[in-house]
Amino acid sequence: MLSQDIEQRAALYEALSSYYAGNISAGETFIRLANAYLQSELVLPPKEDDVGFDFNRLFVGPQKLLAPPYESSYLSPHRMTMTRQTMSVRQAYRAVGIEIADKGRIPDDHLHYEAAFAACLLRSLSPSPQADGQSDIAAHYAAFLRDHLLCWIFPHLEHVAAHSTTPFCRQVGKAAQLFFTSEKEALS
Amino acid sequence: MNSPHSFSRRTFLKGSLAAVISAGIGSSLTLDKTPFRPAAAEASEQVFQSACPRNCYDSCSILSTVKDGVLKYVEGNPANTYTHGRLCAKGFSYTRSIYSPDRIKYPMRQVGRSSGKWERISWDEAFDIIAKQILSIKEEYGSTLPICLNKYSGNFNLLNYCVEGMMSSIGHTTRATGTPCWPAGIDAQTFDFGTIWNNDPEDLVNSKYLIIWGANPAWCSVHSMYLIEQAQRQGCKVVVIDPTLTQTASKADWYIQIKASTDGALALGMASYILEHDLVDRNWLQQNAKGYEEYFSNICVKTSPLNGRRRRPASRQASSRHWHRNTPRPSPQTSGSDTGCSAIQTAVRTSAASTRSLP
Repeated sequence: MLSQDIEQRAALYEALSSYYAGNISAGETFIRLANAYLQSELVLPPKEDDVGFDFNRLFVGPQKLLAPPYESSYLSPHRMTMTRQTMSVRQAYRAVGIEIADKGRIPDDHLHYEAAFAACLLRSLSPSPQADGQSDIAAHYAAFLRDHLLCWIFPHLEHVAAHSTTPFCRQVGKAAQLFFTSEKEALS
Repeated sequence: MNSPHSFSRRTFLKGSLAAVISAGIGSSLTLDKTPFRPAAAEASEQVFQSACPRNCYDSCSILSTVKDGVLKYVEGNPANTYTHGRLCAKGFSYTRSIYSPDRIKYPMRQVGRSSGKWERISWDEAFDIIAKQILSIKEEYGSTLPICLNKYSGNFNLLNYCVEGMMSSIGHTTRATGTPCWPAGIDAQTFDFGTIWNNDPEDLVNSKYLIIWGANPAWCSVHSMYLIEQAQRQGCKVVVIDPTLTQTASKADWYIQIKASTDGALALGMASYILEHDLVDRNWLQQNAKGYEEYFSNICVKTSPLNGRRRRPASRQASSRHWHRNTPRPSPQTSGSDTGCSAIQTAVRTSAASTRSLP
């Protein structure tokens, strides 16, 4: 049933969004949800003390980020955020009449926001596809995946796989890889 | 009856791509527990005036264009008569500094010095750690003097100076004084003019003879270079003294390549020449200068031959570029290295290749 499918995917996006916002235990939830949704058997690694340090080294800093969580870092000519690529993400949010509540602090194309946006669109789908605006929401969702998330998430996850030093961060990346592969297949 | 979820996920995604995308569905979105809010009207483009605080001589006047809270680009302010609407490469790249993905966005604490293990902390936590450390030092030493403020160049903006007020507010603290980069400039200006006082940089255009000593404005003060070239077009002779054939030196009318660290010797030689040829305005000196007789005596001592050897007077060596070109370089045995006089022999290099005539 699609409703369950949408519910599961929305929950996956939400967990991923929360993980990338710095809530590391959400990574655990994400792996569990991915296993349930994809019927995979990814092992849930223990959360060692170093997971937070590894997470920061990959996504936060203070040194050069090993796996920057920004779309623009992969699609902009100079890795810069807040340039044309980030603005196109902002426009995608604006196209459905929303913007980031804390706008201007973290670039709009951070994976935390992009995943939250995907979840927000999925959650807003009515059980009845004939309801007003439903096709628009679905179209926005598909367009956002096609034009944004799926364009950079795989190179990003390659960086995660290459540079993470803890099994936990690596496993979250692997779960994300499986999930987005599934999303890409569905889209194509 | 068709179930609302009877079509497959693939159909849903593929079909939705063909749908017409339109705005105005925000009201139907559920924004609870999301980082989003209904979009406000897009702000119009604004232009702000600012100045580059990097401590370059130019302090460029900058116009920053901001749209929807995003710095789109920076450009020089054409109304500024010194910078003429131009910035240097560093200035133009300001957007890259602030929007680098690697920019630090949160307070962070390293767990174990040099461990490379960083954790995010809140601002309150950061303030708390610092405040407790200050109080702990005060308690241990009975004063806040062990706390030292050491700062310098790179970003001479308002905050750079506010930090001194903040440090003063906690009590007596230690301050690093002096300067890592321009004591020679301070001394030169103070001895020459009595204080650190410059004429208007735009006055460069009115120069008739310009000596650029150990500076490369073509790279390091691009707006000065514009004025230097303008002066040159008006007949000013530009002399560059530098161990390196810089971009500025390449544009000079006369390039004097000295060995590094022999500036003092060359300066003494020049002073000696002025003295020997009585090119000194003694009336002016009597009215305006202090200690010049002592200085003249010192020049005579510094530039006189040592150990009974007869040497060419330093003044002539310094003044004649043909001397070095037409005369074999003195051997180390005869040149010595401990006086300004002898240093001049090896210091002044005025090769034909590095000299060009006035246009």
